[in-house]
Amino acid sequence: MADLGAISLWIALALSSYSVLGSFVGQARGSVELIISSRRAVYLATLVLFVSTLSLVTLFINRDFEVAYVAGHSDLAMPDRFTWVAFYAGNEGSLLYIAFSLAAMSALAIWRAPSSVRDTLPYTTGVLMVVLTFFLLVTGFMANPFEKLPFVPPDGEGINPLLTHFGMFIHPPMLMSGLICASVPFAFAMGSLLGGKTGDEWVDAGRMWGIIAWALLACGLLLGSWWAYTILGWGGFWFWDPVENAALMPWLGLTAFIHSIMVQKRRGMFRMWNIVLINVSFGLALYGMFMNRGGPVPSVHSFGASNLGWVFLAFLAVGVLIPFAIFFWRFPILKSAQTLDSMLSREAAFLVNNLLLLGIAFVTLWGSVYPLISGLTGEDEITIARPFYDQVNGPLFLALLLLMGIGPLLPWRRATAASLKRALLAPGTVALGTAAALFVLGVHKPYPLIGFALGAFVTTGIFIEWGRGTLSRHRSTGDIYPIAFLRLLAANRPRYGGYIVHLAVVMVALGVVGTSFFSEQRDVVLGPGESVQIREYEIRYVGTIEDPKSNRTEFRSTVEVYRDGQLKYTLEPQRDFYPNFNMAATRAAIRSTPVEDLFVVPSENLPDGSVGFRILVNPLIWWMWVAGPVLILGTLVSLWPQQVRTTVPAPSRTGTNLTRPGTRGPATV
Amino acid sequence: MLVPCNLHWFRAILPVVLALSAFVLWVGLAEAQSPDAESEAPQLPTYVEEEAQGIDRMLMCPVCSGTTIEQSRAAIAQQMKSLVREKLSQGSSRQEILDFFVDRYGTEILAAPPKSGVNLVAWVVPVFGVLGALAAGLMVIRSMTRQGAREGGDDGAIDDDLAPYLDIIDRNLGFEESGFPGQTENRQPPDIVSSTGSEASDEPESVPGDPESPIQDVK
Repeated sequence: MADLGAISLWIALALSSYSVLGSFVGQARGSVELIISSRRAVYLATLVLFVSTLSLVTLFINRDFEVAYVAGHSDLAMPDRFTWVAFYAGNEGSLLYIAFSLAAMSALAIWRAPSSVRDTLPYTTGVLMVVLTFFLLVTGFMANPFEKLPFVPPDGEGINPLLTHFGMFIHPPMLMSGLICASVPFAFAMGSLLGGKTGDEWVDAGRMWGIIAWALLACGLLLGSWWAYTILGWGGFWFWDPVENAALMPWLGLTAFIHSIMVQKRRGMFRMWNIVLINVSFGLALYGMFMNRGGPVPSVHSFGASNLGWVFLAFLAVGVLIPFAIFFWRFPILKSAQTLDSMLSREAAFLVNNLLLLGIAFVTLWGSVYPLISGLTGEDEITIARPFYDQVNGPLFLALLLLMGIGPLLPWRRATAASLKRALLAPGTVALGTAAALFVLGVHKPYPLIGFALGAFVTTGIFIEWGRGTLSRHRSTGDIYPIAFLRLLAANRPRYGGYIVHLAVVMVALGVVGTSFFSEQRDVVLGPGESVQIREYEIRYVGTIEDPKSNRTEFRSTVEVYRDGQLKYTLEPQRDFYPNFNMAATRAAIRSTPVEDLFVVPSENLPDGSVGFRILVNPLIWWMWVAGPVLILGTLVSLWPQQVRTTVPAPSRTGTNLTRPGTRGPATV
Repeated sequence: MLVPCNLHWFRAILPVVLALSAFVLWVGLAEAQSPDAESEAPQLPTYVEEEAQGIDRMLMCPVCSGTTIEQSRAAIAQQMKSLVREKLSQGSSRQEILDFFVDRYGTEILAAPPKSGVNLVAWVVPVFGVLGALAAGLMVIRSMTRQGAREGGDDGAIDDDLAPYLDIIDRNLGFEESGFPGQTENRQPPDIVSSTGSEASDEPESVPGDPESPIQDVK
């Protein structure tokens, strides 16, 4: 089985290298056969990598400890369902997973590529396969998951206990796919540039795959936060850890990209800027993989220590420099079809939004690399961690929130003072009202006041837009309100899907502001029968059951929660100690409501039966986790293809787009 | 720089004003966010737990990877935490406690570098980088806007020539504001803010289907 996996890996490498050569040479010589065969090589490589992936899964299920990777990341005690997690618990499996997911996404992107990019598709294929070849080379030569040990150990070393959590089933694969998925829109942009097509041909494909990558990263980040919240046992969800940052930065770049690409789609502007943005996002995604898989900095994510750092660094350099070289080579023909009409327009708002997002990415990158620079220059060793990011990025996120409220209310091209006033009046009033009400209610800190007011601003703006549109649909078509609303959403999916995502972002903002400014925390040691008061909760520790298992000892504690002297509910936080790893994994007991979470986690079990608890009241964090499904819904809405024919922007489109979407008759949901 | 009229002059300084006010707000917020310890801590027989936790969050755990003592369960982190509380109850201020740990472990024990000396670079570069980028971006937008206005013979003119026809199309398609069926749109030069401007093109209430009405498509 190990041989099958290894052989498939090598075949995939051969296929992807062939596809690189075939695509570029075929395009240069105009050989259709070569181009088609290299396209088919991509499909075949996907299939072969699937076989390779399956064989690694089988090896895990059989606990074939002759394979070093299996022995290193599983043991006999591991339940089979964790095979999925063990698969990418180390570099070797992760890289195989990344390669497979890149191959699959490339195949899908090439297969379903819109006809507008047909001319440049060989270049796109070639670029994608260059990336795939790199990952396969690294997997094959430096981190081969099928490498065998000279002997067969009786049992494996076991899986890192922190990874045995439901969040881990989805968080890493989502993030890794999201990072590598950034290659796809990048490849479409590069294909367009290399083919000398610098117009808007690649926009639809680029936008779609940009949104997919963005959504994968967003879900991955949210799931990672959730995992940190429930298992790391310190009560927070985001720490500006270098690896978290590395995943956040490409997400920021892609956020900028999927906004800016809409300007090109609608207005034919920002052509250069979009190429810059996707190059930057791709570069940041490579940086993310370098941080994640190369392991250059100490981090909570240092699960797979490795010597891959320099290879990734080299590829990162190539992956940033060459695209920009191509960009400058093609620079003269990248001209926007339009100029900006006004500073008060959605185009301008998008540009400022882009700058803010890149600004946050820059601050984050700076925070990650400055300690290295400072260390090199022989100054004091310094650390840049959470307080820095909170202070510098906090205001930027608030500005972004403000722009998220204003941008959608601005029309394309040009807003007049009157229209602007009319659009901003209601949301502005609600925002000020919210701030005033909160102030009266006793919220006096400036950040939360601004944050909540802006949240109200964005939300009001969105609901007013929805309300107006629904009303006018109801009036003009006579649909009942819910149907009118759904048809409104269906009529302009990119836009209204975006609104749904904006609502999700407001929910995340609620959670962040709530926990950053209004949470309360107690670290206490309680003996059986003792209790502690936090806010209006009285927490009484009852006792702990100690339950030795084959690879761990479980400590299940029981605490009772009283409110106003009445027993409300019982919580059972758990702490598992793994002697092999000398590590404890905790399961916080969380009572979650939209208002606040009560979070109880045992951090220490003392010999006398008392337990060190960390207890938190985290207001509004519930909204953060609910934002995830909302965000997915919004993304799906905005990606869902219009069922009525989509007009493909052709180079000569004089008069072709005269029919507007609204005139096609009621679209079906 | 040429200053054709007051409006232009105002627009020229607008980015600067915006950038400055953003900076002031930024610094103000950053200051407001880190409350002074001195006002609370001294002369108190016991310490305020929130203040202690605030200090915990500013100190890194020396033996862990990238976590503060507030998060860490390592023994040394626990010792540092109790030291923080001990010093707080003896009346030390936040700054004195942080200095105490810096003396022992070096600057890297701080979760964020101090805003002084060489380390100021860490703070100033990103702040000015972002503000600079924003200012540059606004300049670019402004110059693009001007260019659009000046190239009256090129793009703008086509738009303006087309405008009456576009309006007719809009009306026939029912895109006009329902309240003003007979309104004729006078597209005016961009610098004069018109009250009957082209905003109708994006108002959802006027559009049964797609409120984006990309006028460009007609070109």
